[in-house]
Amino acid sequence: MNGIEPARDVMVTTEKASRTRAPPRRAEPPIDEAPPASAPDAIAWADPSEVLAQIAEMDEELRPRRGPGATGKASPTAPVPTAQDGGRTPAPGSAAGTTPAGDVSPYLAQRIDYASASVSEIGEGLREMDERWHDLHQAAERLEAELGKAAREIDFLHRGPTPDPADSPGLAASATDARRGPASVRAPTAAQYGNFTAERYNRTIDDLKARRRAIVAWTVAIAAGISGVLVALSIIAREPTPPIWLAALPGVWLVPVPFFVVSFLATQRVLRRNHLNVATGEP
Amino acid sequence: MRSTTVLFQITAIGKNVGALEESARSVLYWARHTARLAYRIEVWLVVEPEGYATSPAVYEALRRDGVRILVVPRSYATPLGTSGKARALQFAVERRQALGLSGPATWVYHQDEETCVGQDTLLGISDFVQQDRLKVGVGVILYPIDWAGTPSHIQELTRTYDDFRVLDSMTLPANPTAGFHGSHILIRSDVEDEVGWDSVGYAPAEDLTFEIRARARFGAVFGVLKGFAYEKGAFSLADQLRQRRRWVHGILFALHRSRELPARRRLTLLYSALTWFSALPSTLVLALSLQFRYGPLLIVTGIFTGFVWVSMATGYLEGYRLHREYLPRSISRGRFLAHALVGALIDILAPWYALATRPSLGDFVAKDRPASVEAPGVAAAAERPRASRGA
Repeated sequence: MNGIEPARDVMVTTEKASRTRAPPRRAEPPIDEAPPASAPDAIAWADPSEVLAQIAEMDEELRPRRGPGATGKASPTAPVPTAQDGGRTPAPGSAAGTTPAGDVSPYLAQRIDYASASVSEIGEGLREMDERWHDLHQAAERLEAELGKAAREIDFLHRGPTPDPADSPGLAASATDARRGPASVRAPTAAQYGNFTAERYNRTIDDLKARRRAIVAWTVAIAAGISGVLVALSIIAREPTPPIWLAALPGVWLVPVPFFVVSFLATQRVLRRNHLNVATGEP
Repeated sequence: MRSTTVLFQITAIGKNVGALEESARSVLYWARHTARLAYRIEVWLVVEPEGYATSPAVYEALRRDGVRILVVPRSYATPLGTSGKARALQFAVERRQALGLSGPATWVYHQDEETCVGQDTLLGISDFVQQDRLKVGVGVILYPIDWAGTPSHIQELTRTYDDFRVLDSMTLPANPTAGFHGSHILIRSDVEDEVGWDSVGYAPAEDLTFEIRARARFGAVFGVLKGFAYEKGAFSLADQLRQRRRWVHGILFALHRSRELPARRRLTLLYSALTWFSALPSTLVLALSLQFRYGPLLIVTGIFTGFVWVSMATGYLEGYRLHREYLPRSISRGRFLAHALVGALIDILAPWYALATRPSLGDFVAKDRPASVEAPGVAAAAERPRASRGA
């Protein structure tokens, strides 16, 4: 039938799309992660926005072929006459007529209405699934992050409990001072976990300090490489001297150079000169 | 002899109640869970009446937990008639003096409404006040709270790496690259009393004005404060733009209106501003290079271009590495690059946008987590205990 063929094409495209699309809203899938091969999984991994777009396209394809009596939303569960209905009386409101290809089924308009309503319903359902998927994905990310933190904290504690700093004679007095604060601030201390964030800070600073020389080496090497290529290209290009106003424009690129040079040296100096670690309870 | 006291002072309009509460409770929590502190702690919230009216219940709950709430009276006026945050800061100075808390044994740790502390922050402060060698300390700020990897969040990573430049500059006698912070700074209260925050009219960069005055009066009394502070970036590009606009207006204000700014500092500040303003023309000239032939000058600029590009990229890369242990999720390289470009574009536009528009008083930037950002304390749970944990 003339009017149904395009819709079938759309269906094929949709199916193909659902098999090949990237996972929906998975923010940073690992590189080695590939969509699963089985059909249900492939549907789950399909990009909902693509599916919705395909459905909208289907809807658009179907819309112009509705009969004049077609109304908005028909129930997709309503009894639909089948092709075997042959010469029975058309349903009220249905469009029957003749096209260049021949007689049109008296039930065609109704079928299209039902199909269109189904498309809307599927679309609505997919939209809801998309939202739910998004929520679940965020929840999974939260879970993953919290588990990661928990693992790191457990690892820290397993490396050995930190001695209670109050046991240290040199520190006992200051600890006592600290407890003289406002009533709400006075409370027993939790020594072991307490050192976790301080250790993390020290580790972050140590890592940066350890990279200090590497930063210098890489900066100089890459900068020299880029500059070398640019200068070489400029020389090879043998650019003719343009009007002075045009030739001077790239001068604006030189404005921030002193700032970046000073910043580079300053960062190196502050990392070299300062002991930035905080004292933890570690012996 | 009075024991050393540190006032953790959060000065804000007070409308971002959620962020403000988390900041205050992070202090309460870590004060309770950090043993070797060489000082006693007080937490002060200095807010405007409209901020307090946003959620009195939250403020009263904090008061019950030991936080001192100061609501700046509408009728309060400073001698020079300043407004905005400088007015609230000056009010706190006067209040502290009236309570007899000012003096060399009292230090003020300044926080923005979203500045959370960790144990490392408190230990760093402890180290600084115990040494009692310098009078003002400034440290490095991370931006992991409510981190979602958006362009404005990626852009903040560069600020952290740039903080090392700020620390170096600030500890040198003339502050050659004009670095300073408005938060994560520790000031001995007698110095703050003497310098004050009062200015004629609205002072959009009260921190810069303070630094200029303190340096002029006390010399090189600035030192490195160990420990990170934990903040959050702007939630949207519009907020990022507004925040930067306020900074630009602060710099312009200092250049135009600060009579205490020495000629040399004025020059360095002017150059800093020029560097920022040159970003947009630089980008436009780069785009025009596709059309025009610039000629032999390219050979000269080519020598320096590599260093500038690598320095900018290093800011993002090292900024991310500094944050890595604190962020709730990793980010793909492609997304990182794309968001860095968008975030950078906003910073490129910001100074020119600031010239074209005027900030409103305080230029309110939302810091309370929008509904679209997930609620639980994922990003900096260790640094930002939820209310239930901190209670």
